[in-house]
Amino acid sequence: MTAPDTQTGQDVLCPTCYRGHMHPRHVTERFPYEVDGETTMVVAENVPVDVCDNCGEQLSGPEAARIRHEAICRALKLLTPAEIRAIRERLNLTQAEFARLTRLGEATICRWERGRLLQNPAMDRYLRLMAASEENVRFLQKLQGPAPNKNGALDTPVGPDMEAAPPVNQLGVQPNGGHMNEVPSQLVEHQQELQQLDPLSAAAQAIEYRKSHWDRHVGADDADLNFLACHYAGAITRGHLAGLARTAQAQRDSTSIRRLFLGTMLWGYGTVGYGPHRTAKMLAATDALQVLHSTLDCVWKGDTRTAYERFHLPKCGPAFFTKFFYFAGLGCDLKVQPLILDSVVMNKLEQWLGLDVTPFGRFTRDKDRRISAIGRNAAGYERYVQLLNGWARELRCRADSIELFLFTRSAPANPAK
Amino acid sequence: MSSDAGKEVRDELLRLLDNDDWQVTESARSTAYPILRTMGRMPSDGAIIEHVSHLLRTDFPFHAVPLGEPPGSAGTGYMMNNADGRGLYIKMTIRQARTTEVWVVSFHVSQHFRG
Repeated sequence: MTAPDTQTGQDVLCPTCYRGHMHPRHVTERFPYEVDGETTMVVAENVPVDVCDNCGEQLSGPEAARIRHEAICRALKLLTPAEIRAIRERLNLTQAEFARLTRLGEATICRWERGRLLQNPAMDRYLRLMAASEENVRFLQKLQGPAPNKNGALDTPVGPDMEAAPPVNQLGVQPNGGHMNEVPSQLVEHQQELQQLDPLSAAAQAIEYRKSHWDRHVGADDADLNFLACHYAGAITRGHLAGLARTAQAQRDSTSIRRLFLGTMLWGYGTVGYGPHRTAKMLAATDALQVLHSTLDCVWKGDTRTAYERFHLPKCGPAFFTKFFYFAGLGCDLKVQPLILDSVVMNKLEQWLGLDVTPFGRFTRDKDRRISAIGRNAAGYERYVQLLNGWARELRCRADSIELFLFTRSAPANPAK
Repeated sequence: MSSDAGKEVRDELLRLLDNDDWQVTESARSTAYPILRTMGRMPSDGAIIEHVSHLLRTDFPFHAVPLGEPPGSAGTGYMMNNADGRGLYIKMTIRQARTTEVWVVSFHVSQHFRG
């Protein structure tokens, strides 16, 4: 199975030119390191490497990696692996307990402490906050909520920055006089209609698309596009996407997840001219599949907020990736259903229900003060999802029925300025 | 090119990577850092190893190739083609030098990738 060199000890053949031999040396390295557009010069001293005497190729292993890693930490003023471990050990926590407290992944903590991965500056500050005062740790412990059940899982997942998202019942008095968590009278009046509304029925919202437009950008030979066009020729519905989501949830493979995403974009853009171009850009991202996998894992665990925070693909804003979350959520049984949050729904909340929508995020408005685009805001999205799910429980209807119902309402002719 | 190099080799590669029995060439390091950055990672040698391990753990296909000239004279390499959908090419080999190690020889975007 292995392919041993005929040489041993000092006489190691170069893996690049296959002519020269590798010789051990210690070198000082200077290299630029870029984070968030800023470049810092890193100096790593006494790095053990093997150098080829023919082509100059170098080989280096874990010890060199450790020295470079610590040099990067020093240059960027990040905690070193030993410092991260010391913070955890001062709190007398195992990696699993630390992970539960911070809601960081246990594997991530292990990789940071082992020097396998570098924490980004934001995570570095989070760790420093924990080291800075016991009060911060106690605050996290308070947020941690109930103890794990017998399977070791939390009954109620709580994120580390939950404090940014006050419970819906603390959102205060609304312009219409009620509290936001109270079901608006406009919806109560339509309770029966809401209960009968089935967003997944074929008639609910079939979106037409032209495959030829999508062929030009996504590719006529794209297997997933052809699959979708073959199964849902000319139009795609929420019900179709729910089926794709169930498959993706069961199989969790790249093909079914990519199909679900592409199908969501087909449904989201329909015949909009720039839709295929934007979708092609999203899918061309180096880490597109990784992002889709990682965020769906979060959605299926009921952690929509982390999914929101992790979702970064070019040309794909919240109006579209929340559609992806919504459809993904249809693939399994979630207590809190992720929902679509786009400018149409947001305008209806504001104009038709008279809600103050500022807790849901930052918006761009057109000259008529209508919301025309939605900025990223994970906490705001979480509030919105909690709110509509809460209303749905009161009205004994599906949460997405409320979203669809709002979507189909006529907006007032003259929105409040 | 042969078909997938098999579970036995995959397991051995993973075991060696997990045990920190690995080396990376300077050519692979220099091309890997910008690629990892485009993936949203903080580049480091460890991040290269983590990425390769991740691909192996998630059963990303890899193939055995003879190394050297004449082919096979420098042992066997294991390559992953288009590992990110944008032409990422990774080549490794298992070497018995001081100890048994995985060497990550290449980590770059293939010049032959046509999207």
